[in-house]
Amino acid sequence: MRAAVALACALACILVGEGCGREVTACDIRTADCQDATFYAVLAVRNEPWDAWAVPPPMRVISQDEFRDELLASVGPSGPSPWDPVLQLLGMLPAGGSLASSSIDEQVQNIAAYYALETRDITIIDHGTTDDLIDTTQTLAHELVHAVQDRYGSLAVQDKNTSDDEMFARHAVSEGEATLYSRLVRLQIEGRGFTEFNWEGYYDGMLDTVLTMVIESPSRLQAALQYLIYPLGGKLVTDAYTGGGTPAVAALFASPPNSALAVMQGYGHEPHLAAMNCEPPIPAGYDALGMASLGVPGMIALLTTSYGGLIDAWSLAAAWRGDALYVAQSSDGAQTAVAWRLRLESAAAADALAGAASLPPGLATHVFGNEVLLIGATDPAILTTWDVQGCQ
Amino acid sequence: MPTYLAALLLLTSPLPLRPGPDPAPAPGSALATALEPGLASYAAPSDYVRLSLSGYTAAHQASRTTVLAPALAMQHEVAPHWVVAGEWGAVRLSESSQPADTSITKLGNLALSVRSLFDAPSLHAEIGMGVALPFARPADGESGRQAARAYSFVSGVHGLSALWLWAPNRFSVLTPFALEAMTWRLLLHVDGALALLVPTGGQERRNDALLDLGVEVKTATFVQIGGRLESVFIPTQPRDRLQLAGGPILEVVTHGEPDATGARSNVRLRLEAAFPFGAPLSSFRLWSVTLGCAVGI
Repeated sequence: MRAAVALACALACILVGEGCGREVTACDIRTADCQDATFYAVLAVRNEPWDAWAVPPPMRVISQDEFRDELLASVGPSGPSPWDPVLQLLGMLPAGGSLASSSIDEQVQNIAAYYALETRDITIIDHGTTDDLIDTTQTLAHELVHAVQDRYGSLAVQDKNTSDDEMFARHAVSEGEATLYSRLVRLQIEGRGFTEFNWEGYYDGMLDTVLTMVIESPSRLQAALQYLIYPLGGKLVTDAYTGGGTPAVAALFASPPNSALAVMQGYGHEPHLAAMNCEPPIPAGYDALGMASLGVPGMIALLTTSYGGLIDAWSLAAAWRGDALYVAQSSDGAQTAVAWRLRLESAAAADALAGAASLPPGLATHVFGNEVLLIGATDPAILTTWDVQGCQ
Repeated sequence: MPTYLAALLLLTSPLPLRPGPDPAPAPGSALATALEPGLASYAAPSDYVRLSLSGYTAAHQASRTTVLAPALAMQHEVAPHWVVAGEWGAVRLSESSQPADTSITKLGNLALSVRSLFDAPSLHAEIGMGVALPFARPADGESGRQAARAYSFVSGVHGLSALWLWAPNRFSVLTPFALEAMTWRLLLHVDGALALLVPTGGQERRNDALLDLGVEVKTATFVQIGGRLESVFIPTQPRDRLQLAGGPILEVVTHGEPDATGARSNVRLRLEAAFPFGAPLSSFRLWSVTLGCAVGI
């Protein structure tokens, strides 16, 4: 009987030119049929033909508690992060807060699903908040895009030793692609085309939501780094796709933007950013611990402390042109000092940053032309003796 | 049209297939009497060269994807009822859009086989052994991604038939077979292969076994019109083990004067379309058109 149905289907397909394959629908993502149909839909919107070896990755659904247990087990009994006092000084972590515990709380609360590079499988976290099949199907499609990226080597660029700011930009491309294509799968389910959707409104709304999440997060830097990639990357990739389809999106992977600012400015913009190679002197009795560039997300995390200041923070962050964060530790490891040099588009922007009401009170600010140097220390006494100077 | 299978078609059609001093059909052969006058009076040579070109093109959101896959096949008789055959192809994938035009050309795998032929008055059969050597090797990085896409496209537009020709980083062992018979002025042709595909690199680790089976029916005339159904069964696949494709065939056969031995050279033109309709492939709306020209030597 099945053979007869298959034969009839085959003849019908040939005669009317329509496929007899599975159509993607809003479905129960725990079933193999749903996973397969969503996987094929992802390949189709990505203009990626199925081959005999492109099978959907293994998938599982776990509860929030199970997810928390796994995160705790993966972190292990390590001590406090050296970043904890740094972020506390910058007002990006509450006093006494821990990056590790904040990170786990954030992830449990906000991550809907993830694709694990090490095991090449997809985990869906059941938050018990939605029974809407179309939402979960879109979430599955998002993670399946990452699986396809991994299959075709698009994720490999993230393994390179690059700055945090460049990494943000590269993550924004891969998350942006997943955001775009998973939404396209959803539109397909809804029977709508690419041009029948208000993409600008979609990303504006998403950005608003994300900035609110950053404000409410106890770990604002981490939240900014983790969440801004979705609306910013999504808009970047969608603009590329609008003009040049999937080849233009692939070109973004081949030549990713060099900074979060480039992602923020949008598709086709590649701001020239001079290197920040002027290291401030280390306080006496301290040793250099490391340096990092936090990019636009760092500025947003620094400035976004209230709903009222959101627009100002956003526009001021757009004036970012470079930054270097230096961390030093006292010889006994008990005290931490931080110097964060920020270069802005203009001296006026530097003045605006230095005078921003949302800056943490413990930070000392120094303005050198279009650069601002923020210094802070767990031992405030050294701020008066720390001999800082400009790089102009 | 699977390029590898096209070689088998030339080999086995029309009947009788063996060159010989007497081009006349065997007395009483149902096949001979059913064929059009002239068509039955020549024997297809065992030595041939065939060139084919498959194509696919489609627009996709401000871009166009084009796949071209030329393939060259040759066969030579090494002993009575024994031939060696080879086929090698390449694929060119072009993706054009306003800001980013890209294209890549990659070699396919080289298929070599030895086959034994069996002829009866109204039946032809053959079976052989062969290998496909792994020349399809995507590099690392962005060009590797494009190459992988090229191989996916070229195997996809053919409905995964003759997959060993385009399987990247795989060595294959093949047992090709073919069977042809005639009834009611129709040529019934079945061909295919059992294949074992073994990874030789890349991130793939799974050995795959597959059965490639094509069934073709066409009119036994100079201008042959018919259709072909193609199935590829991959039992080692976790899901969607069966892929199907089908499409029409138009074939024209011409042949020259007999030589001293009575054998005639022939030229065979074949136009074929294939529309995959297995679940993963049909969701992408793939298709291909293949134009082939074979010259018997």
